[in-house]
Amino acid sequence: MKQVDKYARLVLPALMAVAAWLFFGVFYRWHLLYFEGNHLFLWTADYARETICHLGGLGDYVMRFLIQFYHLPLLGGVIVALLLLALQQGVQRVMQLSTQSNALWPLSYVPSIIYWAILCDENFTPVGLLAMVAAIWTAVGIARLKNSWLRSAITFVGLIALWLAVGGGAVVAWVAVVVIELATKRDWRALTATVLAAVVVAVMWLSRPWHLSDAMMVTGGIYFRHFDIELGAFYKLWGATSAVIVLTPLVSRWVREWINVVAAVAVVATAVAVLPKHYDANGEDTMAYYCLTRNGQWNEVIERARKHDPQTRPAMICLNLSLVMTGQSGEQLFDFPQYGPAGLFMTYGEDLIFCGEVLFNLGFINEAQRYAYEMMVTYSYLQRSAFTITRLAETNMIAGRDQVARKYLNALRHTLFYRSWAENLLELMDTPKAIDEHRLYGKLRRNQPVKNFAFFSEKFDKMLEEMVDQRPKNREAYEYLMAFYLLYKDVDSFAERLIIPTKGLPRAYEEAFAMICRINHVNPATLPSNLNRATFDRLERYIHAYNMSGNNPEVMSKDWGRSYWFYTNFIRF
Amino acid sequence: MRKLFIIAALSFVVAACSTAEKRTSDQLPPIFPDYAGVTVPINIAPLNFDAAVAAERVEATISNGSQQIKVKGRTGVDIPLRKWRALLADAERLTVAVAVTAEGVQTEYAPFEIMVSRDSIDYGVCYRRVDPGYEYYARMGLYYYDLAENEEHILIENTLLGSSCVNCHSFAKTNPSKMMFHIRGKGGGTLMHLNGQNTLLNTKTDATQVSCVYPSWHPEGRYIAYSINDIKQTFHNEPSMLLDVYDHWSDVVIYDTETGELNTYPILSDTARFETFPSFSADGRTLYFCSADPQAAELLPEVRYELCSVGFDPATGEVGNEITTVWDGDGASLLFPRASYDGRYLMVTRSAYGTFPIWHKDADLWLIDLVTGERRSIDELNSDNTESYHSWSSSSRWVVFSSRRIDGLHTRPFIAHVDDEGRFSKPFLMPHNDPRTWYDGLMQSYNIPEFISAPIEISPKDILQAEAGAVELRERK
Repeated sequence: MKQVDKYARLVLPALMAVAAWLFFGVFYRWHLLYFEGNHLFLWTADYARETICHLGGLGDYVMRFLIQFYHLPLLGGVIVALLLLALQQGVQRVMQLSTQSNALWPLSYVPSIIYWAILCDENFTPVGLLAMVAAIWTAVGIARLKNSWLRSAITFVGLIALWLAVGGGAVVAWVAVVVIELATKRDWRALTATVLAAVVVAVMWLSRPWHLSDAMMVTGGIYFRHFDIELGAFYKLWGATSAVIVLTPLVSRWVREWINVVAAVAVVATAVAVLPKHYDANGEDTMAYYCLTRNGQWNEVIERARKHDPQTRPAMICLNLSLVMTGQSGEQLFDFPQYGPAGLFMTYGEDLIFCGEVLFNLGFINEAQRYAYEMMVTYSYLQRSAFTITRLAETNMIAGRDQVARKYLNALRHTLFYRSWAENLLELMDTPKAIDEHRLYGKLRRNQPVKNFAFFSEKFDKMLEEMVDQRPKNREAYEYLMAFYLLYKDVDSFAERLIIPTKGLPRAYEEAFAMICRINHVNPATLPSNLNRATFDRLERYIHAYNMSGNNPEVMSKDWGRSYWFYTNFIRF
Repeated sequence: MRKLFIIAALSFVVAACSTAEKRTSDQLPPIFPDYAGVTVPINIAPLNFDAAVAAERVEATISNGSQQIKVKGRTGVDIPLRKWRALLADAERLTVAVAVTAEGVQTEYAPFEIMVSRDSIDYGVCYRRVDPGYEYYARMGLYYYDLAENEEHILIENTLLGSSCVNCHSFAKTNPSKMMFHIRGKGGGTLMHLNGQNTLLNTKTDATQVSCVYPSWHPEGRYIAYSINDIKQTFHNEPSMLLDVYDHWSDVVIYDTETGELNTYPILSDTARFETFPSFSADGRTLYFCSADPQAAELLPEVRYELCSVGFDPATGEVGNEITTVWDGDGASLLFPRASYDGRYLMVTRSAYGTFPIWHKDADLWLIDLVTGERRSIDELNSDNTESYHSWSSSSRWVVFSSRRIDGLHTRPFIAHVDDEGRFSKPFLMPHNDPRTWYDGLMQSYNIPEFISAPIEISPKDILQAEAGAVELRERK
């Protein structure tokens, strides 16, 4: 049993690190990309000063520095894995110091597992994890100091500095320092130093030198991405960590190797049982759709949807936009399970970042700018984001607001991963007519409305109609409008706007058109020859099957689930 | 051998420095901010500046005729405070000679002058810094800037209050011991700071329906006139316009800080008119405000606000029975009336239409001479871009106003001197220790720049511990 205990102690850290790396770097890679896109690290002294000069600012700065490498998810996974490992190793070291043994070492994994679960929610930043790592290793460092006076002085200064540097996560250091001191040296000076440090922090708290709310005084406001801080998760985490550190020395004398092995099995089993429940598969999928859409990888979006139906509205919006952008909407719109116009757009505020993509690509540049701006200020109150700053640079450039665009691009020049993109755009702006002739930006500039109208997200079909009236050559807006009519089952408006090209109509349009003709008793023989008569025959077969099936969607979906007629008859929204 | 190498290397560096090509130019130096020909107060902080082009070295010689200082830096100059003050102390004007080294070539530009006015300026400027956004907001705060020291202080940041919006700071004739600002959202109210007492006032009543909005202190400090507005936004799609803010309805009310009464007046609550942006005259016996016909509000570009006035009796708190139209705007909309404290002038913002000129590129500042009745566009201050909010210093010799002239979006505070004849000097951007890095990097706007005559003595603790209060409605006949 002793050997098992020993090998488990050696193997488990590596196992956890690899598992965390695979989890975040591979299976959560879209989360990491999305997370990175919503952050922005600038390599400037001003940025460093601004970030560091608030409670927990140093931790925030270091973590923002690390988050930029999430741009390469495998590397991002390494960063998260190493932080989780550092926390586990630190807690284990504290336990060893306080017990002078390896008693209950598997419990040192508890804080890391909890934070692993926390990080599955993209609303939590890894700053709190970094804070705990700093706290626990500060305690370990202090315990190594032999000289009583020196240890006491470092304890006093170090704990206060730690709180200022990383925020509330520093509380773990207090617990660890006190426990180690009581379990080993029992030096009254060092213990007094922890109390005095706590008093100084309490006085600072009560005198309110910072403009921070109570909740933000706990976390520095940086462990969670916006104002409404979820403190409960942190209280549980710090409580669990403190419990492990405090209880271990109390029970260590009764712990035998077999208990460690049982505890190790229990911890691994718990992690295996708990962590998958925190894995946000829908979130990962949705973020994948967003990142691909954002990069204009339309075919990849469609391919993804072919393998696995989009599970969320934002993902559906990305798919439908991709179909429109590739000109396949008219043909393939109903190849995918549509569930109404909600899969095309949402009302304002519901999901700014996804709808912003729709607006941008359809030529609503001012609105895309508004959505990007609102996204920027709502996602995080303390920092900008790469997604939104790049978009704001684009929208301002397309709309001709060059000075503002340059301001954003100049900021992006101070980043690691967006620098060359920004410099290319600055060069583009310096070249006359280059934007007009640019494949994407030139088209979007030409697709913008020419006459002003007020935008209402809840009347998106009307906005599209206005756009199409003003910009008849805006193919994307036209197809989006037609998709809107079809999904809204507004066949009259569809028929009114339908243009029949010489090469005929795409499948979904033709199915809708055939249905309209049948409702209006139009003889297909009288219709233009470029319309596919087979579609009219198929409609007759559909009606026959419908009548035979007794209005049963399950029976009908087998052969007709990919038709507009099926959508019209069976999909409710 | 090692010494020889060091000597050789040093010689190379010295030679390289001394052989930099030198040129002269009859152009003014490319510096940011542009200080050429501006007039500054004798107590202003150092006017640090940066090269507006990519530079390797910037050198400046600043002279007042009898003494001079030389400063240099890599991308700009940081002028020592003590030497700057000594230079300004007995100066009428400064001559600034600037040399910029770029790509190995040092160019000596034509010197420019800075006029030094004996009219000292107030202690500082209070403003809000906020993203120039739409409906949502992130971190924002009210700050005040020490104009003699180039130092920014926090009055309040919304991180103190969760996610509230803070706005509309206002002072009784620049006096920070009589001041107020609004905190919107959960736990919000109007923070009233009166002679050391802090009250968080709920100004919403059943009758008025909404909280007080745009304030103006009576010069004696007893009353505050407010507009109460039902504010909406609309978003444009044509590239040259972004958004508009407008009122569904608005009235003007007057709060009495002594009695705690919020006075409403039929003449200022006319359902047939919108009344907004109240502003007391210097003697406190006239209340200016802007007024528009609600019928036109059906179509926003048709909304024009006129400048109106009504008498006010500070002894009784009553307003007059007759509204006078001071200026109908000649087809444009007049907003933000602000009377100089010496009673001579009234400054307004004039824009093609509407009530929120900050989003209108055409918005300009206009001056009305209250003695002669003459009015003019203040071309000395206006630019091709938006000029909007403005306020007077306590001496009425300086104005600070917000302008979007730098990049078209982010509002910046500019300061200008006004002489006996009502002529304004060329405005200058509010100084900063590191102006280019700060203003280029800042993605927030400066809102509502207001002069203050002393530092503001309110701490975060004071704000959190402010006593809750409510106004008492009084309907005047």
